[in-house]
Amino acid sequence: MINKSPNYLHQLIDLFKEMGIDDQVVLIGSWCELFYESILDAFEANIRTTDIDIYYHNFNQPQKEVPFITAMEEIGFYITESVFPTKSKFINEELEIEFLTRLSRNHSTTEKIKPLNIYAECLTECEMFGNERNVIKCKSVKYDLEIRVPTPVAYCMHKILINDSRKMEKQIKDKQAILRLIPYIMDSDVYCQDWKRIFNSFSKKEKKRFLNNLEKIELSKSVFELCK
Amino acid sequence: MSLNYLKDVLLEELDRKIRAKEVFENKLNNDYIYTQVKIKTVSGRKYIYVYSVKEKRDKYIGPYNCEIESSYKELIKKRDKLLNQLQSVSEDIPKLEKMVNII
Repeated sequence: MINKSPNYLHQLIDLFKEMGIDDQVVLIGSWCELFYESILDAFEANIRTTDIDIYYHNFNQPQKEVPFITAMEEIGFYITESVFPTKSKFINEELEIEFLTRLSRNHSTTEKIKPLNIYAECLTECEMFGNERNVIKCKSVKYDLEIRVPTPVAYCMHKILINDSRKMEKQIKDKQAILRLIPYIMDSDVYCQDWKRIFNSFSKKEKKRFLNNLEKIELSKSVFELCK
Repeated sequence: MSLNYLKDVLLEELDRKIRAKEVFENKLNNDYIYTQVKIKTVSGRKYIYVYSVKEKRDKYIGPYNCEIESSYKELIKKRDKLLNQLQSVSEDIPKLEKMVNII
């Protein structure tokens, strides 16, 4: 496991606040697990990735432009853009930061986050993070960081939903994360209800995909019961 | 942790370092190209020049102005920071390559 210093995350979170976009962003991906350590008793984060993924739902908000790219350079993250499709990525010597967003009406693979002047990848599976009920503002006491992250249930269900599209190594890693979170979910009535609500919000296609992936992950029958 | 898993982690890290190196080199060659601010006095009047590594010559900026001078000095500081970042990733790449080859 490569353990990256959360100092960079600290700088990034401060920058989001400074730019007034902290209410627009949701930290997704395995870095969320750092925050779950504060809300789930004895939970241990397992961060192997060198990427920080940020979900940005309202790509036209805020209405005024912010000097985001310049501010990122100030903290040592430089922008690089792929051409087909245009997608922005910020790189420093330790980490890469990518932005993701919802699918727009024109079904483009990427979308411009206008106020930030950057391009984000559109992923339909991430849209659940645009629903405020699936997101919590979470403080990591250990690292003194605060940012919006998916609820543990939304995080876990998203990992299950996308499991079939991941590379084999990542499938295994995701499975480990799922298996570590499931006991916390099964132990809480609130989380179980949340699971049912999110499952019911899936499209027919997503429900089928989710159940197929659940079967592959070989979770206990009680987890399947939550999907009825 | 299996060796394949470890190799995968190291390869991922190596790819990322190579990408970072390319980005830093690109920035240094195209954006952060000034290395020195020079104040030249001609007929008793001060003018600002900056040395461009891209053009390999002093580039005329304009009559002396304290704010312009400090903005270019700031840009040079950022170049120095970027050079340190480039050095850091450049040193990491052969180390990672060596580790990948061992596995």
